[in-house]
Amino acid sequence: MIPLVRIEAVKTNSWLSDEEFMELYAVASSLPGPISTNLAGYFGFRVAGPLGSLAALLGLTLPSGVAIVALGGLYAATKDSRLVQDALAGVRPVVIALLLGVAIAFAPKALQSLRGRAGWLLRATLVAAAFLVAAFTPAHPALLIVAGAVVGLVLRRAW
Amino acid sequence: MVTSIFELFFSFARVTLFGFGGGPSMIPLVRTEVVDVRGWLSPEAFLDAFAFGNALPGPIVTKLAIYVGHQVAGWPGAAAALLGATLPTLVLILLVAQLVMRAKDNGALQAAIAGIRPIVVALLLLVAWDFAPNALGNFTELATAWPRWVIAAASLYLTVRHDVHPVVLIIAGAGAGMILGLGA
Repeated sequence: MIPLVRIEAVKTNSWLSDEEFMELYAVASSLPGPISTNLAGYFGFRVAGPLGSLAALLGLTLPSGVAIVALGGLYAATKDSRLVQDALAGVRPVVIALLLGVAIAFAPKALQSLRGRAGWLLRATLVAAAFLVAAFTPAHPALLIVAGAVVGLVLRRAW
Repeated sequence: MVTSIFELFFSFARVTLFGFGGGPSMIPLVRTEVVDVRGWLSPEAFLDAFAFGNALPGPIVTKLAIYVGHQVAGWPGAAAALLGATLPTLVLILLVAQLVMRAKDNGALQAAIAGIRPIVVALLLLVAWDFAPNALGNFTELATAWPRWVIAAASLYLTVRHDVHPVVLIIAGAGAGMILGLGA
């Protein structure tokens, strides 16, 4: 989706230059929240103030939002049927695979280190520790994220 | 209903305000809010919603927000959830973007994010781990549930190695489920 946002912002509408876009993208990637809506809202604001932001957000999110509600309605109406139950039973393993796939795609960036093997191992340990804490304590994920930020700040370039 | 509107706004605001790392980082947070904290969806219902979400274009969090919001409190709920998911972080980026772009040393921010990324991996793995019994059955059911393991393994291979689009895999899984009668 981000390449599409870039085409719209830089080529189609010339809201900002390519360099400015890449800088903004770097910032958006460092801040929390959905990157695409943050970018869209930001451009919207630059072009037409708060109303522009709202327009951009709705444009980005409403079409698929309406579609998912429609799909959900279909699901609710049919989910007790044997056929749909069969279909869902086949879809859920796929979802597990997609979740693992996302984790696997995300992992290289999470584990890369300037300190070679030692750094990699430290980060892998953090993954394991976080997993265990999240799995076996009632700690809220947000707390773990804060803890991770602290670890990152404390270790800085050491890992 | 009014309480729900506020809860939807705050829950999804929590999700996106802690979501460092784009879509993947927010999926576990949505699940925690929607299934554990608020109990709006059962674990299976969340898994299924995630499946629909993957089958459609658009940012995953906003799709889930609209879906859950609508389930809980109709279109006002959907609006509350969507605004919660998008406005706070948008305000943040509008306020802070200029500062961050001008700052010579983003070192602290980058260091913090480097520490958050491993947490995100762990949380994603945990979502998969928590859903595995629903999706793949317990170990005791292995004799009858093995086709689901095969579907999972094949899908994992296809998505990681060949970048097959999620929609294709979801449709294939649905087809396999129907043909094999896996819903027993």
